[in-house]
Amino acid sequence: MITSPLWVAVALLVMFAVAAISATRRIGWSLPHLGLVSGSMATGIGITLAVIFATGAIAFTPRYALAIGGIVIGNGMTIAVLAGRRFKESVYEHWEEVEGWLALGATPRQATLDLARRTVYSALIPSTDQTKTTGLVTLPGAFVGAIFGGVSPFEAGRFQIVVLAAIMAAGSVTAVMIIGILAPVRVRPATLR
Amino acid sequence: MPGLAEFLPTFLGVGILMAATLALLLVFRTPHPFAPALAILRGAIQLAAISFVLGV
Repeated sequence: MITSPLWVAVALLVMFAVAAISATRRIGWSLPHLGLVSGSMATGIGITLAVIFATGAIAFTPRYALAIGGIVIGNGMTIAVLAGRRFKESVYEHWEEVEGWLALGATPRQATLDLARRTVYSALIPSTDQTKTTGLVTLPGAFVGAIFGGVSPFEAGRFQIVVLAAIMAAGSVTAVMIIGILAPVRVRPATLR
Repeated sequence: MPGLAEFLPTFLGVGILMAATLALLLVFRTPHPFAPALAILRGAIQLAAISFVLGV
């Protein structure tokens, strides 16, 4: 099954659907939010995988597509949750400041612009630190798994470097899109569960 | 040990992803926009070192 393009595509679709629903629940369930999270994650993950396979950084085979697709989807979900929740919490905590900007005539987008920028940075901190300390603090799962699977350390290292770059790229696109769309706020958001 | 030419597609792909990440964060004007790109660079160097040690 792992070599069947059809079954790999089905598996990736299921992974994506579960990730998008899980992330949306954390941000606050609603159909517009589901559309926002799904669209942002699909854009980030789609662009990233297209670059990887188009450049030949990783061979476009079902096995590799499943491996890197799963990793990028999982990390995209985490970054989407961090971005969405942190932004809502920031707006809630700094509501007086946001309201002050609105009272001064700022547009809803302008009123939360600074919070939005800081939220994108915050959402990317765990992935950035994980990438920065690769090999010093931990050996990444894909690297260890590839070596256990019999691949040479050079090949495993090559795969892992692509994975790290893919996580950062997909995460950046996802976070910027989610925050960019959530940013215009007119009323104080409800507290999150 | 594989030749450098075999890694060219990897360099290209990772380079494009790094540039895209950096460009996006610069355009959105987040604090420390270079941090993710530099982290990828540092992680790549550390992984290359580990791969070399394990591979020889």
